Amino acid sequence: MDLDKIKKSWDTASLKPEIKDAKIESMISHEGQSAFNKVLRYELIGFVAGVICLFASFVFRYLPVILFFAVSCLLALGWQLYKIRLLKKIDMLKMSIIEISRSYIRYRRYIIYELIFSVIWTIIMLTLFAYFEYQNKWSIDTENATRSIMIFSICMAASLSIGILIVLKYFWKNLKKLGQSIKEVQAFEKEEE
Amino acid sequence: MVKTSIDKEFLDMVKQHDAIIFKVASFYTDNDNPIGDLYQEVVLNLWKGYPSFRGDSKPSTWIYRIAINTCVSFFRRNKNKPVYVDIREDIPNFEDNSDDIKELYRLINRLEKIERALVLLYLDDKPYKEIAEITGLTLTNVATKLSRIKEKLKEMSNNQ
Repeated sequence: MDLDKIKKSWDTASLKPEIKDAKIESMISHEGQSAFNKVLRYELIGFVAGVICLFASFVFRYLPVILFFAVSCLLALGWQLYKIRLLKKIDMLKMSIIEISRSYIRYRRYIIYELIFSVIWTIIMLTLFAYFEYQNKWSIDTENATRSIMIFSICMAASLSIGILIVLKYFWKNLKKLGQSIKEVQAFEKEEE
Repeated sequence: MVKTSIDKEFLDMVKQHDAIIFKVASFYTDNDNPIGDLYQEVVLNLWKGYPSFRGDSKPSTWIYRIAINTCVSFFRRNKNKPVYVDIREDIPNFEDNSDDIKELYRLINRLEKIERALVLLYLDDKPYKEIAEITGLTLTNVATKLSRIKEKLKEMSNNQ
C-alpha cells in the first residue's frame, strides 16, 4: 500500500455523513453524558463512597479490623483524589496528542491495578473479619479449632489465588495493549527530545 | 430548536466540517467503540470547548485537534454506555468505497493510535507544519514518523 498513491482515492471516498441539525442539537443537549464526564463522575462518587465507608468503620467490633478498614479508606480517598486530579488535568483543547495519550494510558493502567488490588484487599479484609468474629467461637470449642482454622486458611488462600488469576487473565490482554501504546508514546517522546 | 446565536454558529461549523469529524472517528472505531459513539463524543467535546475558541487557528485545525484527542482517549469505565443519539442511518457505508480505501481501513486497525492520526492528516493533504500544529508534535518528528509509517504500511500490505 502506497500512501501517496491512495491520496486520490481518499479525496473521492464516500466519507461524509448526512446528520440533521436536530440530531446534532440532541447530541449537545447530552453534554453532561459524555463518556469522559461519566468517568469523572464515577471517580467522584467513589470518593464520596470512601468518605461514607470511613465513618462506617466503627460498625466492626474489633479494633484491628476497624483500624485496618479505616486506614484502607484513608488510603483509598487519597488514591481517588489522585485519579480525579489526573482526569481533571486532561484538556482536549490544549494538550498534544502525546500528552493526551500518556494521561489516558496512565489512567487505564491505574484502573487495572486497582481492580487487582481490590481483590487482594477484599480477601484480606474478609480473613481479618472472620478471624476475629469467630475467634471466640474457636476458643470455646477448642476441639475443632485447629481443623476449622486450617480449612478457613486454605479456603482464603484458594480464593485469593483464583481471584487474582481471574482478574489477571481478564485484564492481561488490556495490559498488553496498553504496553504497546506506551511504547508508541515513548518512541514519539524520544524523537521530540 | 436552536436557542441562541452561539448554537447556530456551532451547528453551522459542525455541518461544514462533519466530514473531518467522521474521518477521524472512522480511524479509531472498533467493535467496542462504534463510529457513531466516537462521532458524538467529538461533537460533545467541540461544544464544550466552543466558548473558548477564539479563532487563533483555523476552525478545521481546531476541530482536528479535538477530534483526534477525543478518539485517542475515548474510554468507558462501565458497560453502561452514555446516552447517545442513534445516527446509524446517517453514516455512509464503507462498502461503497474502492478496494484501496477498504484495504487502508484494514491496515489502519493495526497501527498505533498516534500513527493513525498522522496517516489521516497526511491523507487529508495537511502540510507537515499543520500536522505538527494539530498534534503538538515537532515538525521533524512528524516528517520522520510519517516516513516510517509509509514503510510500515507497505510492509504490512506486502505481508498480507
